Order: sequence, then structure tokens, then C-alpha cells
Amino acid sequence: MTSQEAENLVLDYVYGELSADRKAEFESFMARDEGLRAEVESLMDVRRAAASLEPVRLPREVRKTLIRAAERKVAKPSFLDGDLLTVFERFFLSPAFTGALVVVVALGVGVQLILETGIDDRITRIEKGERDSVHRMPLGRADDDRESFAPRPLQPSAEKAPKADVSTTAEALPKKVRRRKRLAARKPRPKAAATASAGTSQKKVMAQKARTTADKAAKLKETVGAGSGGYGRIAAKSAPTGPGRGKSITIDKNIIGSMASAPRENQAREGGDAVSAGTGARYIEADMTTAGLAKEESPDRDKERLADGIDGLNGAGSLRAQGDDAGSLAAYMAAISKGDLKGSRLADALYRAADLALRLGRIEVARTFIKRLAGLPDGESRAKKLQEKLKGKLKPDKAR
Amino acid sequence: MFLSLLSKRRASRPVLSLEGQSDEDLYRRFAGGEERAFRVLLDRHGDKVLGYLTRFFGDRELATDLTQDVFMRVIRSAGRFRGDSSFTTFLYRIVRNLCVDVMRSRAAHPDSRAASLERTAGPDDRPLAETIPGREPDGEDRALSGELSRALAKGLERLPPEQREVFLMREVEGLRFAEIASILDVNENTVKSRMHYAVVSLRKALAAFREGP
Repeated sequence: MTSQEAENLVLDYVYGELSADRKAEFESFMARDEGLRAEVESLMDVRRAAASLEPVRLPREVRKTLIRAAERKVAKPSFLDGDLLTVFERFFLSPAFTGALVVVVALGVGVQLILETGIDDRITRIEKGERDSVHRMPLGRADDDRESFAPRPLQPSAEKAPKADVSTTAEALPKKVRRRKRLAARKPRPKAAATASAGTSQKKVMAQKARTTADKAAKLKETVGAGSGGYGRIAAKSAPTGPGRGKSITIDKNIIGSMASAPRENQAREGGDAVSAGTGARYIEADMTTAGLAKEESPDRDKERLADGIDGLNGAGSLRAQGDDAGSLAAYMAAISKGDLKGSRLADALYRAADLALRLGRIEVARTFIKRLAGLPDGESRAKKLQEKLKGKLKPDKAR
Repeated sequence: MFLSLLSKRRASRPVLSLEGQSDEDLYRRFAGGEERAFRVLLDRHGDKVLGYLTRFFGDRELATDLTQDVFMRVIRSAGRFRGDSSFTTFLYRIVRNLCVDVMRSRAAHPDSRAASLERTAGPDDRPLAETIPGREPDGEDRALSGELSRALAKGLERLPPEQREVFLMREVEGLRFAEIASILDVNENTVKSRMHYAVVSLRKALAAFREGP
């Protein structure tokens, strides 16, 4: 052992941290080294002085406080206290875990049920892109169309409407409806109606609805007769309760007024079902298809419908082409009285209406239209022409 | 079945005398729900921790508060003790962390409580160094021992904190150098070095006391 090594071991020796061998070696070296012995002695003095310090006692109050805290801790241990098994034990037996397990199981069962059975929610199905199947659903008669209160997509216009696969569509219909459709198919189809329905094969699906709506078309004459814009306005007030109460739906000229009565009746029949005005409107719009189908099954319906002016100028022209001057005049009158026509279209309508009125001998009506036509910027020449016709018409009467 | 296994497990825990148990076993038992184990631990270490803190700060009141804090932390940490180190190391790490907090606080607020051993406290307004208890010998020895204790306390006060803590841990608490190194997270030789300087400083202080004014 060198002096340096002995110097490094002084503290270990003084504090008793040397092994027996090292201690013996150190002591033998110390016996030969006076300076080392003095060093050790002075360190021992410090140790003795430190040992003279009396141990401090923890106050009783502090001890009690700590023991109470320990008791509380034992009574209500922290979640992560203890070994792993204890923590697991605490976790799996905790009410929170049980509750969460119940919720998760319930959710899982619910999701499984939904996946298996699906939700009978037409809106969801529409969102999923199942519009076609919704289209194919029978809009139904008054006694089977409770479902038809659900929102339905707007029927595309006739020229844009895709050609439906009639066979597939027919298969999608309920048996009852298919039977009615077969019966309707047996009836002879007038040429005009067949023409009108050309390109609207999808509408055949809705033929059943037409039967119901045809019965209501008679009511339209009253509304058309009422004058400007009165027709086609449905009072949803008939719904005694629900968000639709007190609201009204204005149907534009492209919506068949006769159909407007269907939701009104349905709403009334439902007696307070929460059918909103918006839902009613969609319903009516969907029923436009049905109205078109009326042609197919009942050509007279066309006349009545068009005579009501709902289809506006096109309908009037169509009736005129069919030789139904009276119906055509009525349609022109309705279109004009609605007030939506402007400019050249209004002039055309006035001209044709006046012409028809003259043809039908309704002189006063013709005069009214001619007068109005004369007041239009581009109607003066045509008004003159009509005036001449009118004069020609009046001459024979005078001559008589 | 699971519940019965758990109940068997609980029943299988042996009921032994706690006095002969190691600190680590006692602490685990406390974490497992045996409050008595904590009492034994408190009996073993409460006074030592208070003594260490009293001599480190020279403020009995502060030391008492800090001791309470230390054992509150011990209680809260029950269950998180993995047994990687001894309970003593674990305990004195808490003690040291609290000491560091107080030292930092003292550095930030020099006028705060426990500013120095010279600060007076208590109804008798004696310097705190004088309130540090020592052995109570009879007669002449009593007076000599009391003065020696005060001299040592003053010497401790003048030590840098890192030397003071090493000295107190080794001398007062009886921790081995390796344990101190582990608590302080330093090399054992560093601990010995600090201890050496501390002892040399204290020896000088005691020599000055013996030589007299």
C-alpha cells in the first residue's frame, strides 16, 4: 500500500467501509505512518463531535397527521398503486370499467343490428344513392301512401328524364299496383295521349297515382276560374298540428294543380301528422310525375289538366293541335291570367288566345286580348291583324 | 371464478411481524393496503429525516414541515415503488429534491424563512444554531458537549450545501458512500471527495472552538 492509496482509504477506514483484509492492511500501514495516524485521529474527533448531536424526535402531531394520511391512502388507494396484478384487479372490478363494458357491448350489439337489418330511413337510403328504388316506390293511393309523406327527390323534367327500365320498374312495384297497371294497359290508348306520354316511360310506374288524381282534377276548374295565381296554392292549414300548420305552398305553373289537392287531402287525413309545408311541397313535386301519367291512362285528363292552364303555353298549344280550341283557349287564359308571361311570349299567348276566342265566337274575350296585345311593343301589328279578323267576324253578324 | 381467485390471493398473503421486515417489503405492504407497515417505516426513518433536515437548514420548524412533506410524498408514491433502489435511497431522493426546492426558493427570496442558522426563531429568540439539540451529558461534560454541538452546527452552516448533505447523510443518517452516490446521482469518488472537504472544514471549525477565543 502506498501513501496515496492509504490517503484515499482514510474515509473508508474511519467510516468502517473497508473489508477485513483491507482494514488490516490499512492499519499495518498506519502503524508505520505518523501523519496518517494523526489524520485519522482528527477525523475521529469530528465523528465524535457529530455523535454528540442528540437525535431529533418527530413531533407527535406530525406523526399523527402522517398516519391519518396513510390510513386514508389505504382506505382509498390510488388507481395505479400496488403491483401489476393489484392494478388489474382494481381496474377490472371498478364500476367505471363495468359501465364502459356495458356501453361498449350495447354499442356493438346496436351496430351489429344496424349492419344486419339496416335502417328503414328513406332519407338515408336516398343519401346512399338509392334514389332509383325510391322512385320506383308507388306513390300510392290515399289508402296506402302514408310512406309517401317522406321526402322524395324531384322528378326530373320530361326531356331530361332517363328512360326507365319498365320491366325492372314493374317488378319493383307491389303486386296490387302491378295488377292495376295491367288493367290500365288493357284500356285503349288514344293517339294523342300516347304521343304526350312518349319518352316518359318512367312515368308509367306512377300510373296508379293518376287514378286518384284524375278524380280530383275537376276541382281545378274552380281554382282556375278564380283567376290569377289562386290555383295551386295549398293551404297546409288543414294539418291541425305540426310544423306545416298555418303554412301554405305555392305551386308554380309547372306543378299540376290537380295534384296539389292530393297532399292536402293526405294531410287532412293524417290528422295532425307532422307534415311540414316543405315535405308537402316535395310530395307535390313528386306527384308531378303521376300527373304526367294521367295522359297515358286517361287522355281526357290531359284536356282537363291543360285546360286548367297549368302546363301553360305548351299545354295550350298541344290542345290546339288536338283540335280542342276550347281547352286550348282556357289554357291560354290561365297562363295569361297567371301573369308570369312577359314580352314576346305574352304577345304570342295573347295573339293565340284572341285568335281562338274569335274562332269560338267569344268576341268580348277576343277584344280584351286584342286590346292588351295592342298595348305591347311588338304586338301592334298582330293586334291589327286580329282587329281585321274581328271586323270580318262582326260583319256577317251585322249583315244578319 | 375470477373473484374467487382474487379472494384466494388476498387470503394467501402471509401475516408476518412487520418489525423484522426490510424497508422495501414494508413499503410494498403499505402499498398493498397495510397501514401498519407505514407506521414501522415512519418509526424507522421519521426522526432521521427530521434530524437531517434540521441540521441541513438549521430551522426546526421548516424541517418539521419538510419532513411532513417528505412522508406525504412517500404515502402518495406508494405503489409506484418498483424496488430498483433501496427504500432509503428512494426516501432520501425525495428529501434531497425538497431540499433543492427550498434552496432555490431561498435563492430567489433571500429574506424568506429559514434564511440562515443565525436567524432567530421561537419564543426565546436564541440563534437557531443553539436550538440544535445535542447529547445531554452531566455537569462539565454537558457544557462541553453543548458547546461542541454548537461549534459543529456553526461549522456545518459554513459548509457548501453539497458537502453539507454528504456529511449529514454519511455521519448523521449512516448512509454508505455508494448509497449517497446513488441518491445524489454522482460518482462515489465525488462523494468521498466532498466528504473529505467537509470533514477537513469541520475539523478546522472544531479546532478553533478548542483553542478558544
